[in-house]
Amino acid sequence: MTHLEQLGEDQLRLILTDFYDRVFADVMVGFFFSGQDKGRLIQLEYELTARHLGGGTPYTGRNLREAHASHPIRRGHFQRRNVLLADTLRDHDVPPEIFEAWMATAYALEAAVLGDGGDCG
Amino acid sequence: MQKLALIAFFATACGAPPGPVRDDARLAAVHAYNEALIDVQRATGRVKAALHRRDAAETGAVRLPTSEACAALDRAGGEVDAAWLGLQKAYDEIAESVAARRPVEADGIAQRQRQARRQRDLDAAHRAAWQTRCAGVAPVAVVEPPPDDAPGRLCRALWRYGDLLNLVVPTGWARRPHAGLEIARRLSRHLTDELDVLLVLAHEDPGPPRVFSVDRGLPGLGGPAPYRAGHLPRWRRLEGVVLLDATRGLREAPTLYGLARIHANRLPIEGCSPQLGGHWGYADVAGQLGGGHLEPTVAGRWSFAGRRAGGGGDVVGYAPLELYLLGLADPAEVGAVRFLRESRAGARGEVKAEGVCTVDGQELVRRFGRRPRRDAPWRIGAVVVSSAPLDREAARRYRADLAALFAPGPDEDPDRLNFHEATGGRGRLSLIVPGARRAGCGKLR
Repeated sequence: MTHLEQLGEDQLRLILTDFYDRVFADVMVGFFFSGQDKGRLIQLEYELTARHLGGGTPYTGRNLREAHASHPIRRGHFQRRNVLLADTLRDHDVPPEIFEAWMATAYALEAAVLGDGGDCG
Repeated sequence: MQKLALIAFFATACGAPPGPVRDDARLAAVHAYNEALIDVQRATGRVKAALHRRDAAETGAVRLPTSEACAALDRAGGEVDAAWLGLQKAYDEIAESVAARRPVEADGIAQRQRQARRQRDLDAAHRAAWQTRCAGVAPVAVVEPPPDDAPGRLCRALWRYGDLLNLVVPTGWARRPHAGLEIARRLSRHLTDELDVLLVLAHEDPGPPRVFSVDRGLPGLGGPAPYRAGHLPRWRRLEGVVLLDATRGLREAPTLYGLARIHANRLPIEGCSPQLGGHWGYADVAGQLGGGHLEPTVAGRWSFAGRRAGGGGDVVGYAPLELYLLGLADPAEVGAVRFLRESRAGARGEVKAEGVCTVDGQELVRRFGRRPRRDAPWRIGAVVVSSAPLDREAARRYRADLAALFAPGPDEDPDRLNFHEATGGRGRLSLIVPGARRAGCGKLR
C-alpha cells in the first residue's frame, strides 16, 4: 500500500486546502500569494505531492525553478513554508511514516524553489 | 439594554437624521443589521466554546480509545457541528441586512462566511475521521487475575513484572497509524512523567519496526519530528516511542536501530540526505540506519558495499554521525561523510550517481546548530503489549533480554551488540518503571 493509498486522495486534498489557507494568511509568506489562484495552486501541489507519495498523478504545472524564479524567495521564507506544512500535517494526524516522507519531499524542493542550486558542492 | 445602546450608537454614528423627521425604514434596517451582528458574535462565541470542549474531549480521549472516550468525543463533535450551523445561519441573516445597510462591508462578511464554511467542513472531516477511528472500539480489556506467583495488577489491563510492564489490549493495535503514540498516551494516564524513550514490544502483532518521535526542540537534529509536545500532554520529556515486533523475541528486533531513529535522519540537506526521514541510503555512514562503503569505479559509477536502509538487527555498531545525533559524540568526530547525489542502482551491483555531496560535523553545526551532548543515561520504559497477561516464562525471557541490552558493559552474546557495545561504551540505558499517578492504579514502586 502506498502512502497515498494509506492517506486517501480526499484527505490529501483536504490537508492541502487547509495548508494553503494557512500559507495565504501567513504574515511571513502570505504576500507572495496575493492575487494568486488558490484553487489552482492546491491542484498543482496535489499533483506534485500525490506523485511523491506513490500515486500516478501527472504533474501539469511548470518546472518548479521556472515557476518560482520571479519571486524573491529567501531560505527563511522556504523554511517558514515547511513549518506551516509540518503544523498542518500534525493537525491532520498524518501518520509518522507519511509525515517524514512528505517533509522529505518538501525539503528536497529547496534548490528548485530558491534557485541557488542547493547547498552541497 | 446593551443592544439598545448599540443601536443608538449606530443610529447616531451612521448618520441618522437629526430633528423630528423619522425614517422608519432606515431605522429598521439599522436595527436588523445590529441584531444580526450581535447574533454573529454570539454564534462565534458558541463555536469557540464548542471547539474548546471538543479539544478537551480529544485530549482526554486516549489514542487507543475506549468506548466512553469515543462517545464523549462524538458528543463534543456534534456540538461543534451545531455551533457552526448556528454561525452559518447568523451569517446568512447578516448577509441580507448588510447589503442594505453597509454595502462596503458585504465583501468582508462574505469572506468570513466562506472561511467559516471551510472551517466547518474541516471540523466535519475531523469528526468523521474520529468516528472511523472509533468504529468497533471495544471497552478496555478486563483481564482475569494472574496466577498466584505472577506479579500484581497495576491498573485495568496494566501489569508489572519487575521492571517490565505488560499492557493487555486486543490484537491488531500495532497496525494503527499512531499505535506507538496511542500506547504512550494510555500509559501516561497512569504513570508519571519520567521516561525519555518508551519501548513498546508487540508480543503477538508482527510488523516492521516503527518509531514515533516527539519534537522536544533539541537543536542540531534538522527537520521537525512527526509529533509536537502537545500530542502527549502528560509526558513532557518523552522523546520517542519505539515499536518493535517481539514475536520472535526482543533480541531479534532491531532495538538499536529504533533508538537511533528517534533522532535521525531528519537532516534536510539538498542532495546529501536522499533518504531523509530515516535511512542513510548510498552513503559511507555504515551505521544502524544503513549506509556502507563507497568506492568510485568509472565516471559516474560507484561500488557500494553495505545496506541502503537500516533495521537489519543489533549486529552493527553506531556510526560516528549517528553517535553525534544521539548526543554521544562531538561534531569533530563525525568526519567527512559522502552521499551519492541523484543515485540509482545500475548493473552488476554498481550505483550510478550525478555526483557526491560531502558533509562533516562542522557543516552540520553551521546549518542546524550543535546537538547537545548527552551525559545522563536514557531513562527507558519497556512495555510488552499482548492480548492476555504474559505468563511467567515469557516475562522472564523479556527481562533477561532487556538486561542484556541495557547492561552497563558487554553482554555475553557474541552475535549481537548491546547498547554499550554499539556506542563504544559511551551510552547508557536505564530501565525504569515510572511512578503511579494515583493510588487507585496500584503500587508501582
